[in-house]
Amino acid sequence: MKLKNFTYLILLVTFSWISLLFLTYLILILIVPFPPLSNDSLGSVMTSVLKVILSFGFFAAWLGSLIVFRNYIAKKNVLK
Amino acid sequence: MELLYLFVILSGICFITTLFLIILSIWFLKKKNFLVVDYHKLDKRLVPKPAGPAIFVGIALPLAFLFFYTSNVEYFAILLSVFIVFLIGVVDDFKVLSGNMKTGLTILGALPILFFRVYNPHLLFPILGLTRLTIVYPLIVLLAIPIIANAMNMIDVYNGTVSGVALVLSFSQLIPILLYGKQGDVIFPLLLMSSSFAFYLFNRYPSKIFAGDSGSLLLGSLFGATAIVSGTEIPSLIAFVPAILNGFYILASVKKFIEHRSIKERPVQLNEDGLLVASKHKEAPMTLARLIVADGPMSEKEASSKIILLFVYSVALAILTSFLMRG
Repeated sequence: MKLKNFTYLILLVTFSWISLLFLTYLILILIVPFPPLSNDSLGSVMTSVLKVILSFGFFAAWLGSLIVFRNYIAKKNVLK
Repeated sequence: MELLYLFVILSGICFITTLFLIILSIWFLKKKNFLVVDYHKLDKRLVPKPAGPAIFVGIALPLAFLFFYTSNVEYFAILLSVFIVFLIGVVDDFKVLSGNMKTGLTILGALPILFFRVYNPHLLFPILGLTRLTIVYPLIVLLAIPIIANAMNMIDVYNGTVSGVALVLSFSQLIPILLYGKQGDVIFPLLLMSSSFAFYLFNRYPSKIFAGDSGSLLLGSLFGATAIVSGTEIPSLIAFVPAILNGFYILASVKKFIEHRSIKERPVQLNEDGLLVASKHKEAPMTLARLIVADGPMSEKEASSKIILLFVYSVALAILTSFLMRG
């Protein structure tokens, strides 16, 4: 079955919605409350840096998934 | 309740003022020869630009009145934020700024919101409820205004797109605000709705006037500032997803902030029948405008309607999310 390009765009927006909510949950439930690696100030700073890097990593992965989705649509309907 | 009546009257005044000033702008811009080519028409007709000043006055008058009437600093902060971004747009309309410069300068639009502290770092999430982002939130504010304003600017691709999208987006804030009982903030989406509707009447296909950078940037900054001040960040973000995708895809294609006039390979071309076709060129940026017309040659009116329809869908998702947040 060949889907119309507009249907793919609707799917893309739906995917972005679900994955964006999932990403925020991932960051807020798993990463933000993560306890410090050790009780000294270095441990606390290291944990904060790690949290930022992890959050950024997940965000970059989310952006990457949007690029993959777009490239799929483009290959199927635009550059064919 | 009394305040709600006042807001409805003020949004009516905003609609009439914008409508009147746009008619005046069309006449004035034609007389002074401030015209640009409409590239998506075979006859390459000239269209007056910008409508930004008319839209700004329509929004600014009710906000200034409300600030003096209630002494609520929220109205002043949003007015100042919109004014700064509008001024950057005016400069860009008459003296084209580079992509980097324009994006960088629009950060200034976030400063009034931060300075007057009219934001709440307790972000409301669906199911999770309230979360505390005291340290990160000001940084989000600093990024949100330029990102939203410039993404709105990038969506101004076809006749009626930017005005229609702004009109549809206003519902993604109006309904959550009413749902959360923040009646004092109802005026912001009402102003976005009434000004963009007045503008849409002249901007829809075939356009009698274009928004210009001043118009699209100011509509974007009003939407962004309202999201922050009214605490509707999540529904607004979800409603704005197609614009974010469009901006991100342009950025990913050209690898830098670029002024749309300097894109070498146009993503959409006009065929001999006057219909829009997606460029097959690999160098052309993969924008939303290009993906929309990939279904085959289509009229500009149809392409514009499809973009607005995509936003109707994302706004419906945003409203659904705001109901989840309430639960």
